[in-house]
Amino acid sequence: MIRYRLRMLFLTGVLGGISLSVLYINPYGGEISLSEALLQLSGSRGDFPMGFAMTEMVSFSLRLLPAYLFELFFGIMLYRHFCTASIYIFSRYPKRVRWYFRECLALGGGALLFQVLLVGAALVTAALRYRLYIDAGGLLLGLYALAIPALWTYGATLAVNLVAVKAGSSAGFGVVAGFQTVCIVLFGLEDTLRRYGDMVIEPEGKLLRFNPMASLVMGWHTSGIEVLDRAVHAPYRTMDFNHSLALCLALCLGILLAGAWIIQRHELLKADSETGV
Amino acid sequence: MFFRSTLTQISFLLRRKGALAAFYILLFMVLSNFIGNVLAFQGLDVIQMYHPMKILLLSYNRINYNADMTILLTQLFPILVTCPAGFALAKEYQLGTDVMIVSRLGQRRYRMSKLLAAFVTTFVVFTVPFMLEIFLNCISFPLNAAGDLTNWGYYDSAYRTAVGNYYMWRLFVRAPYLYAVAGTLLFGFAAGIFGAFTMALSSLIKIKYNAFLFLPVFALLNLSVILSVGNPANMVSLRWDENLLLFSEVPKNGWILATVLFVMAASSVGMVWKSGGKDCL
Repeated sequence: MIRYRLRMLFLTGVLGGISLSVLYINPYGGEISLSEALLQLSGSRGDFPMGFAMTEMVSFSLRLLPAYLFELFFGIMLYRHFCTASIYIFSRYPKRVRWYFRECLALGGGALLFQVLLVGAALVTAALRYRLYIDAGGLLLGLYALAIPALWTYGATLAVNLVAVKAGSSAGFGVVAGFQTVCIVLFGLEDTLRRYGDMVIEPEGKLLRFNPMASLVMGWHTSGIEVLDRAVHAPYRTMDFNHSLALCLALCLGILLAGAWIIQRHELLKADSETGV
Repeated sequence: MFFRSTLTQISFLLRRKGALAAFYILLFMVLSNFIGNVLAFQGLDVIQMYHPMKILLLSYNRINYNADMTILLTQLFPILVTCPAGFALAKEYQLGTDVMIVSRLGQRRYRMSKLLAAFVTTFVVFTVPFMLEIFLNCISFPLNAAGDLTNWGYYDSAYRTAVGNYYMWRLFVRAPYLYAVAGTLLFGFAAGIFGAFTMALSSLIKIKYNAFLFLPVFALLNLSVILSVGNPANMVSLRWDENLLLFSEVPKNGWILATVLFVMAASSVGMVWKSGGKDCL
């Protein structure tokens, strides 16, 4: 099982990174900076940050496809222990919450490795196709581009597992993927308010600040670090990298603690979540 | 016996949580879109008013105005389409109830009836809410309004080119309301085939976790979008949404869509036929 999981992790990470790079990293003059490549990986088109048109939101969703696949394959990592032989497993681990945290740590490692593979493969592919040069802002952006999506993927995958424990694997993936899709579509709410709110409401990215999926769009962020801020040149001044990192961290922590509560209270003898009997 | 069993299974599938959830989600989107239209267009003069069918949730023409709900539909569709009936057979395997029905009907006949039921259930779930919206728009907006959300004039060459790219454009020119009904039926038909394909796949390959059944259609529909990334605007579109939504003005080839749907339908029947020969114990 561990070998299977590692194989799926490498496949989704490396193949996802290569395909994202081929599809979305396209410099104008045959050379691209690291910061621009990372921005294009997270929604930007060329030098322009992601907008609210249908095509841009669809292409942003496609950029998340490898992450969705990760959530699908790893969305059963904890849950599978509750389907078959759960009593056998947990009779050997009387401290269920400790077991849960150990599994969560492994899942966290997987999510981080997946993000490193995804971004690494995308950048290596871009370097093979174009002249990729490293800029100062790019290195800092790279750290955020690894940390924020890794945290989000981790939280979402953990949520898939936990919903699955309660309602089955199909509901787990369906609910979490559906929630992420709704959050992406809610990006447009900002634009709708600006266009049809008679300019009375001028949100200036305020709504995006509370949309967790918006934290994955690097091009909308600002930073107190000047070199990073200049590399990103965001259209709004309300989303900060540290704020997004804190938001993702808080969400992960919330899901982690809620999970501990669910796992501790889940009745093993009641039913197999997958079949309902 | 075959049809009676199919009808029983359809009525059973339509009452399951997956089908009801998908239906209510679609209904919510349809009603939100309708209420948004009423609020946006109330009191508008008929000369300025857009064609009532072009402001439907399924209308691709909406991307020129405000397509929030249409984007939500296109984003959720790859997940939702599996929900009404895609898991039907896998659930029965897991519960072991299939053995009881197989002993009465026979393996192959049972699976064929299940395939037909999966198709009809998904078709119904993905057709009824949109038909309701057509009806609501017909009684709420002036039927002689004819505007296009691009705001192009009737004699504008760009408009004529766009209309020429619609599937069944001749029907649209003669009877736009009938075109909307036919387009909605085509959308439901395609959804039915996607749902039946998932079910057929689960009959051939035993999958332990139902979540993996999302993967085939989810990957296929997203692949159609990936293959269109970076293509020139005048190239034939392979994207599923541009092919299945109404009033899609991008160049398309109906034979490609027909071939894909036919291959999926034929392979579904083939998979179910092959799995019908297996020992069910």
